[in-house]
Amino acid sequence: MKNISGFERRFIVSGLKENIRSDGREMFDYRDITLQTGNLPQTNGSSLFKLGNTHIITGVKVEIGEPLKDHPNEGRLEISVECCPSASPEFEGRGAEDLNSELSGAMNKIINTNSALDLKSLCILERKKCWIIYIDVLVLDSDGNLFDSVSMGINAALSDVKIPKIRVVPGDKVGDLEIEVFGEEESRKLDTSKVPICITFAQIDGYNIVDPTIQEESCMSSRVTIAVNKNQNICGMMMGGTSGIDTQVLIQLTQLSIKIGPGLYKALDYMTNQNKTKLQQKNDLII
Amino acid sequence: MNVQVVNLGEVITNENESIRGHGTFQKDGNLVSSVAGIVHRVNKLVSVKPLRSRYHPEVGDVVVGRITEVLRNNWKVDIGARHDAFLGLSAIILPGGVQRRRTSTDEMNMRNFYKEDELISAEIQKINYETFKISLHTRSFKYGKLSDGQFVTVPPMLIKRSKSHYLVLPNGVLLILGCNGFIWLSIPEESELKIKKISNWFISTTTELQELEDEINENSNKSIKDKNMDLETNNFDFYKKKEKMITKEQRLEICRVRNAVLALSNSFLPIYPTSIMLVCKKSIEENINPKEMIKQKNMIILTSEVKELIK
Repeated sequence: MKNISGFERRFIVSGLKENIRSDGREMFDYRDITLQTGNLPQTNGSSLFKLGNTHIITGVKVEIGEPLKDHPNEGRLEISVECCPSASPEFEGRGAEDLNSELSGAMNKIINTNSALDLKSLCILERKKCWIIYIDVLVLDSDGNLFDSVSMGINAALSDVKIPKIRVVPGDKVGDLEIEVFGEEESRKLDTSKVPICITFAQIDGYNIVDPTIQEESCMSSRVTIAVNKNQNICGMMMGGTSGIDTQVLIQLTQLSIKIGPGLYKALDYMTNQNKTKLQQKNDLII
Repeated sequence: MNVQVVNLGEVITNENESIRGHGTFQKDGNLVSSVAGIVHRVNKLVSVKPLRSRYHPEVGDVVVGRITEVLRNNWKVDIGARHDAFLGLSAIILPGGVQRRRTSTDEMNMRNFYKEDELISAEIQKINYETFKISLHTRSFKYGKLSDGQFVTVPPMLIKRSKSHYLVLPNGVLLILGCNGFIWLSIPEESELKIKKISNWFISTTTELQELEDEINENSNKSIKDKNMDLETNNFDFYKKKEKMITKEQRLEICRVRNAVLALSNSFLPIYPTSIMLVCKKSIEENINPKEMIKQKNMIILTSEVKELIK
């Protein structure tokens, strides 16, 4: 909602003075998080993530391919984020192109590294074969704060991914090698303990708030997105908006994000476990 | 009460005597529905009212709209209908209070009245069905520019057409329920209104319900009278809208009502003063903070009483 009157803006700013936002939240409160994993059975891992009215669906597929020339013993990820044109009026036609490339670039920067996932464990045959993990994110509905939602959706989907067990056997011709892929029962999970999530701060008239709604985003002068992981390390920082940020404020925000991170991870883990038990109950019933 | 709900393409009736109204068409001698909704029968006229559709404007509706363009002698207003509405320069209250002719100076000063992206509340004056021109007017003190408050959107069919759409709720919140589903929440001008604490309320009998609605209407009329005096003395102050001082408690009450409206909209329940007050009362009884009201599990608890009332 890019259109907002000066009077509505005035109301939001005077509310921030009292630490009350439009829905009663305080400055550093996140909205309600809902998470479901394993929604898309045709994928190797998936998640449906909701942060307030922002809905994100993520699908992960793993395929065997060739590693990059300068990283011959590592697998890799290919992340692509797309904002559905029905998610918001600004996304109609080619309006979402810039946002799509910004989101995809940001996610690649923080997740497609060795510090987030053990890429060496994705190698099958050095210089010849490796696992390539394709992550496709679709923003179905946008109510602000896409960076955080996309990163948390990817986190949840990766924790759901099952990589099939494989065995390298000699092929038909001499010196050829073939890869035998086993069924789903013998698959392994990825170690996602170091995958970071993003925490976005919006600056409105000197006040910094976390998790802005689309109304608050149209009032903000600048945005800082800080990626943190479970070990409370800072994994990346991105900025956006039209005005700059004071260095002192930036330091304070990074310290704040380290405090906020664990709470979000707890919520995500709790819900992922709930989904697992539900799935287990379903499987038990079938057997 | 028999309510017939039909889906797209469902046969409503195969009588040849029925006159087909909106939302129906004839196929193979049957009357088939073209929308998903409820069948309305008035003598022989059969029509289907869709469950979810764009706002359909009627003359006399109170609406909340956003100014999209400033034209030569009128403003274009977005009211969420199939066409934009127009607010003419001759349809607003000009400074001075008394009715006077609009001059070319007024045309130059249009942005001093209403600018782009500002919210207004207005009444639909007339609709020209040939050119689809919807004309609005703000010729009353309860209409005009909206400031110092919050804006929420709900599906338009949840708002019933009633006596008054400009309401002051007993917990001190000003509520403008636009028939187009656009809702404005704020604080009324006069702070010396009869504000009853919600914990003293027991809305169980119909007489008490009636008392509640009467009280809300009384409060609303008081608020309108105060605006009258404002306009006669000031010039453009009516449009400049100085910032109102809103206390922390008042702000929390606005948040509570806003979340109550969204909870009702989420469960597709009708939004009118009684249902909103029931949800607010329940939130206080269950000790739910405004910020926790929008959680899924809480919304179910809050709207349970309203669902009982609807039955």
